Amino acid sequence: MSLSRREFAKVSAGTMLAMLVPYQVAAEAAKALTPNGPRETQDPALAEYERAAHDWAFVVDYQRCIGCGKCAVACKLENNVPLEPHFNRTWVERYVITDRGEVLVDSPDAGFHGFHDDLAEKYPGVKVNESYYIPKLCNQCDNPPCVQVCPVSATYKLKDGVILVDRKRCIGCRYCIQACPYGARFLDPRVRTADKCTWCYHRITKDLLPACVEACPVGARIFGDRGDPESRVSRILRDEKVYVLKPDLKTRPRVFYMNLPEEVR
Amino acid sequence: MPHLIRASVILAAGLVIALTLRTFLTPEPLLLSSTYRQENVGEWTGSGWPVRLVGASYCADCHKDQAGRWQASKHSNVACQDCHGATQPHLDHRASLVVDLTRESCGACHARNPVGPQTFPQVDLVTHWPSTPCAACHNPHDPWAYRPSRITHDVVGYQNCLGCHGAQTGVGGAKPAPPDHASYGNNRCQSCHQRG
Repeated sequence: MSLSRREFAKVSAGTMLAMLVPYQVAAEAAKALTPNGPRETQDPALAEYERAAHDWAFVVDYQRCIGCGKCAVACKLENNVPLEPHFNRTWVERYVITDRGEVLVDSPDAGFHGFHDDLAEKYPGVKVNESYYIPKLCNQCDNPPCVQVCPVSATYKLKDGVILVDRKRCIGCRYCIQACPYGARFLDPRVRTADKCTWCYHRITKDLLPACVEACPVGARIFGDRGDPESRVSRILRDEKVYVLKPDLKTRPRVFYMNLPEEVR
Repeated sequence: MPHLIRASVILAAGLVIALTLRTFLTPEPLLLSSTYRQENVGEWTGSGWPVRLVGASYCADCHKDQAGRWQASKHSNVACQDCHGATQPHLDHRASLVVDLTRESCGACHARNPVGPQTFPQVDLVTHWPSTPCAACHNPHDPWAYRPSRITHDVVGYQNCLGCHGAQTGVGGAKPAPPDHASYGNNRCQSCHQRG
């Protein structure tokens, strides 16, 4: 079999184009099979929700936090998180700054039962200069290390800012848990897949607040749409001094801390 | 030489066409971040994730009186579930909710605590009416209504009255019960003392 140069060029060009066709046909077929779009929009409660129209952000006003742990409790109840103390989507840390400038951090049971112990008993002989509580949760980074390292693309970022984990794809390799600089991820022992805070995605898509925000009795957790210039988070981000955790890592977190002390940053 | 130029022009043109086509043909999520499974988003918002902590407006549909009072009170920032616990069993099959009314339960927020904001109302659980449940004086739905001057004396039973009027607890200006009352047993104090 012999080909002229012209014929060879024709055949290769045709083959290249033809290789694109099945992909396009498959995409169209998938659309045709789900006439209402992807399955998520079939949920009637979600008919109103448009991902691209939101730009979620979370603000923590740590100076209001009293360490009651209601957020941690609400989170576990709402999201069916294992009740053992080592599995947490959100938690509260207690910072104690000594007169010598040491920073002592603890979080008994992730703050689930509050903080009832006596500081003098916990740190005998320590002179406390300053102490406060810092609530923590997934930062839903705009430059997320966890998404980058996932070898099976099981974790991904949505346009509204939230990062989710596909439990059917996750192989439980724990790379993302290692990669997260905020320790926000854990391996759910029941399903052996990675889990983390979703900002209560099932709630915020239905115009409800995340459970921890709803449960916080002192308003230390504030959630809202950064895209709406009149929202409370927008106002805070505009008018207040806000910080993110570990800014040098360039992860671009979406959780902002008002007036955050140097020891935490 | 011209055949080399021709070949490279064809190659370059092919590349441009391929890249342009890719932009149009690639589905959006592939470009957005990673090749995630679109259905998974629905799995995170669908029936597998029911809203368990319902808002106060939901509770208020039935519990109008408590909700109205709570709404106007200092505790209006405290969600129903913070004290009443998970509401799901109650909504699913009318299981009654058990409220933890111990002093430790109120102390989760209000116990003396050197950490955190000191402007938040705190009491020393050891010295502040140590044997009296908080709710005897402070209505949890309206905690400031029962401040000492306006205590409505809903508590009945001698032992309960002694919570404030016992000889040892005569703190906060409450008159201790006279010693000769000790033999009165658990009669209702209100049989002589009218509620004021």
